[in-house]
Amino acid sequence: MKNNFALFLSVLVISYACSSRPPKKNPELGKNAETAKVAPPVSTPSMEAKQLANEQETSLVTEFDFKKGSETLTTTSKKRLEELSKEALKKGKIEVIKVITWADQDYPSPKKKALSAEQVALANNRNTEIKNYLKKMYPNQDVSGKIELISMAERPSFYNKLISSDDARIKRSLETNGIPHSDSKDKTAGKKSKSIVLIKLKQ
Amino acid sequence: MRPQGAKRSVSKKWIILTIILLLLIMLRLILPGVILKKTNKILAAFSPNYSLHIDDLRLHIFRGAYSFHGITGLMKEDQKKFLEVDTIDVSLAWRDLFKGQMNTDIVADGARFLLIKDIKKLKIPKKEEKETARSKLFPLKIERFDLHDGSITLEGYEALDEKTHFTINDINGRMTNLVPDDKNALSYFNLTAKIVDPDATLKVAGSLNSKASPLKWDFDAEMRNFHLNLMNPYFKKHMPLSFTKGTLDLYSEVISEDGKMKGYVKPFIRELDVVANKEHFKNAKHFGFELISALGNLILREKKTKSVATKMDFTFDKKFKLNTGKTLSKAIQHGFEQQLSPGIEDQYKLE
Repeated sequence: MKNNFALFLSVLVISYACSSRPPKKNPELGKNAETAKVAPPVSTPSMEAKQLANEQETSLVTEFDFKKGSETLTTTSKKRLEELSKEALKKGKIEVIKVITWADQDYPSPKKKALSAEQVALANNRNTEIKNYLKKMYPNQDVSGKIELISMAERPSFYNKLISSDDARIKRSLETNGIPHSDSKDKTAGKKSKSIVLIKLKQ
Repeated sequence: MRPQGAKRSVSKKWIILTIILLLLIMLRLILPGVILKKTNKILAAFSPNYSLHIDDLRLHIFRGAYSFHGITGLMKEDQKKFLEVDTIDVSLAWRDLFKGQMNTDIVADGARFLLIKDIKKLKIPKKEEKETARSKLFPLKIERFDLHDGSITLEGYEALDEKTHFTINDINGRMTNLVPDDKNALSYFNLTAKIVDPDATLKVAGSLNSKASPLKWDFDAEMRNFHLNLMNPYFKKHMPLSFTKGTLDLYSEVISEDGKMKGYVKPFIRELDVVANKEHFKNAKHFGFELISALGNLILREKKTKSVATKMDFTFDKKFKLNTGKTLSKAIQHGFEQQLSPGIEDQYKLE
């Protein structure tokens, strides 16, 4: 392995040194011609979303963003929901759709219990927006009773924890999988303004 | 006033109830000890290579569960301890019970496993022997397995401090649908663990089709913000190279179908520095490696984000093959043309 690494690095240096043509200027580059084009936004669900889907025993999962302060679905978000719905329709009948949505702040810490009323309302409104759009995706089936909405602006209530409801289990799973809360130092896996939608099919 | 006959039948009822209650209490007290003794006898003899021992067995009648405490595994040849588990809890899967199936969920807490060097030399226990042990410990089918706070120590590999063996810590995982059927053939698994860097978590999500022959599986893996300088003791020893600073994000997908594996690894290195101003170099080879690495970083580094990245596609069909040409072109693309997107690409998926 170390020989391969040394060879790889040597080839790099020699390739660059042997280049006699000046680098082509790409007119589509940004203002600074030396920088590469910015990476396209990630279109696949995050690891935390995939791990949550695995726990729910489904591979049908998508993840998208909301604009800060907005509850309106963007064009990209609608496209992701449409793609997910098409894939689900091809594979079978829907048992349940779980919609997990964040406000514009991280999940509240155990001390905080819930974000501000404004943020709680934002997460709820986003959930409602997604539910209404999903209902349009399935004109031939009534899916409204099959859509579970989970708001990440509030921690689960004492009652939900006691009966180990879906709300409590999903939130506990996400915390175990590394999503930060409002007091966490490491916000790498943060999901502010995001939503995860997963679809479970009837077995 | 109550008749005499009625009084006698009431006290008879109470006597019978009391006797039944006492019998149940006695059974509850005696049964675990009896079962434990019998189980330990089987576990000591079922394998030619190793023996297992359980310190304590507890029954949890109300929730339909039982638990093993203080499980140890010893190699028969040299009495080397290869397994220690604090607790294994086996409970009825109530959600399946309501569907008319009797399955169990298992939760293992504090499992420490030593992967011994000479594992290939071990005799494989016969199928009947494995089945005997499994049926005694877990008589019902296992639907879900959870692992909390586990670790694996690799005896054949040194830790970075060279004083102990290499260990993967804080392993937490779950495997579900361990009783697949034709309609729902995939089992799913998740894993998180810490390797070397306590601030960087390895996350794995995958699926497995155990009904297929050969076995089919796939997984996605991710590790972010790994501090490269923590690997310096290893690098200096095996390839004279050391990092002053730099973080690594790693994304990978692997799939195995029909006995053949394919996948990719996407490393993203940020803020890399391999040569410190007044670094002490062990020898000329060390200096040379560091210089080449520094130059490579300087050339390939994307100017704005100061990151070096590439995508390494590989296959394994009896032999491992890495597409080095594509790896190099992706590195150049990231540095000069179009940055690579961090994250899993969903290129491979088990259907």
